[in-house]
Amino acid sequence: MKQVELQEIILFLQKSIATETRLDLEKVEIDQYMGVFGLDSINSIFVLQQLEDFLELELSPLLFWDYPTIKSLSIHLYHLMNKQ
Amino acid sequence: MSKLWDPFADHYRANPYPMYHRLRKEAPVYRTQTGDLVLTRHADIRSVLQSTDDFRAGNRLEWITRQVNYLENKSEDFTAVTDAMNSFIVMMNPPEHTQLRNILMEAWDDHEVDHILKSNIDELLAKCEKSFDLVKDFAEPLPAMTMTRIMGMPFQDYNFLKQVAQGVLRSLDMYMSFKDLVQIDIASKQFIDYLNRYLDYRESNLSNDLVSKVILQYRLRNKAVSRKQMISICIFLFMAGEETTVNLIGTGLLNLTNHPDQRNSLVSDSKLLDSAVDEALRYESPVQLLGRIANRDLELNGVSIKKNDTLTLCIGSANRDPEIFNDPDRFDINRNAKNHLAFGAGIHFCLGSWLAKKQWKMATMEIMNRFTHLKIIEPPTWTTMLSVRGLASLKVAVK
Repeated sequence: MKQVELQEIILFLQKSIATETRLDLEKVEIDQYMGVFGLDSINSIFVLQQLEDFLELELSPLLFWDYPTIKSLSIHLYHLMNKQ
Repeated sequence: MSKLWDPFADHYRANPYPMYHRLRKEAPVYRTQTGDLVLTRHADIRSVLQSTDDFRAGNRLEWITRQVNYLENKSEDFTAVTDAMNSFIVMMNPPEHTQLRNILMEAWDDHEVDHILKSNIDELLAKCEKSFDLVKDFAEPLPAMTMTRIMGMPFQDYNFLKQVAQGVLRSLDMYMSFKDLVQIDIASKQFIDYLNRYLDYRESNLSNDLVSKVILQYRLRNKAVSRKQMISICIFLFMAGEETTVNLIGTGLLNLTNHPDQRNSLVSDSKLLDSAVDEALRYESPVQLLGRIANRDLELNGVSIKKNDTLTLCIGSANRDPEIFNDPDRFDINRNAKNHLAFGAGIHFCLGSWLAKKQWKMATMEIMNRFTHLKIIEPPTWTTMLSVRGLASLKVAVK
C-alpha cells in the first residue's frame, strides 16, 4: 500500500477540485460541502479517476457523497490506507 | 448508524435483500446521498412504471449524454457510447417509443424458436461432463447463440457478440467510473463496426431473420431509419436478449439445486414450469434497477419530488415486497408469482419476455433431466453490476 500523509490527500483533493471546477485553490475550503464548489455526478468521475491513480486504490463512485467534505473524505481515505 | 443506501457494501452483491427490506420499511421513497430517489415498494414502483405522463424513461442516456459532452470539452471523444445508445428502446419516450415498439412487435412475429434453442442447448451440453461451470460453460453462451441465430448473424460470431454486448450493457448501470466509460467506449466501437459491416450485407440480402424483418417494416411503412439508429436498435435487441437471460438461467439453477424437493417435483410434473419460471423471475430478478425522471413536481408516499429528479426503481425489492408476496424470501415454485415486475410494467413491458421464459424452461428442464445428480462444488460468485444481477460462476459436479 502506498504511503500518503493526510495533508497530501487534502491538498491533492483541493487541487483536483479547483482544476475541475475552475475555482481558485484558496476558495476550495476543506470543511465546505463539495457540491458547493460545483462538483457533481458529471465532473466528479474525473476527480475520482485522478484520486484512484494517486492513491493506487479502487474507490466507490459514491465516495464524494458518502463523505461530502474534503476533510471527512481525506480522513476516511487516510484511515482506509493505513488500515490495510 | 449504517447508511440506508449502500450498494457498494461488500455483502450487497451476494444479498441485496436485507437493504431493500430496511428501505421499504423505514423509507420506501428515499432520497439518497446523491439526491436521487430510491423506491422500494411494489405499489409505488408499479405506479411509476405506468405513469408515462409523470415520469419519462432514459435517465442513463441523459446522464451519459451530459458526461460525453463534458468530456468532449476536455478533448476526450466518447461519442461511440452515445451513438450505441441513441435508439435503445428502453430509453425512449412516446411518440418515438411507440413507433419503434410497433415496428419491433410487427417484425418479431416468429416465436417458433424451439429448434434453435434445442440445438444450442445440445451443442453446449455435449461439452459438459463430470465437473463444469454452469454459468460460464452453459448459461452464458446460450442466449448469445440464440440471439445470433434469431438476428441472422454468422453463428460463429456469438462469442464476440456476447463480449461486446456485455461491455455496452454497463452503460445502463446506475453509477460508473471513468474506467467503466473507457471500457464501454471500446465495446461500443467494436459493436458499431461489426454491425456496420453486417448491415451492409443484410440490407441487400434480406432474409427471414429479425434484422431483415425490422428493415422490411421500415420500408413497408415508408419510414426512414438512419444507419446510426439501426445499429443502436440492433445492439439493444441483442443485449436485451442476452445478459438478462444468462442471469435468469444461472440463478434459477442455483435455487432449484438448493431446493431438491422443488427440483424433484418440477422434474416429475412439467405443468409446474409456468409458475416455476415466474418464481425464478421474482426471486432473483435479472433487472434489479430501472430508472425514471420526474416530468413535474409531485408527491409520492408523502415525499415531494421535484421536476427532473431521478428515480431508481428497485425491481428486486418490489418482487420481495411482503405486501404482495407472502414470506417473500422463501423460494417456492408452487406460489403464484405472476405479479412480479421482473419484465417491468406499462408501455416498456419487456418485448422478449416470451423468449426469456421459453429459454429458461427448455434449458432448465434439459439440465434437470440430463443430470440427475448435480452438486455445487464451490460457493457461487456474483457479477459486479448493480442494475443487472446474476451469477458470474456456478461450479458443479454431475453424475
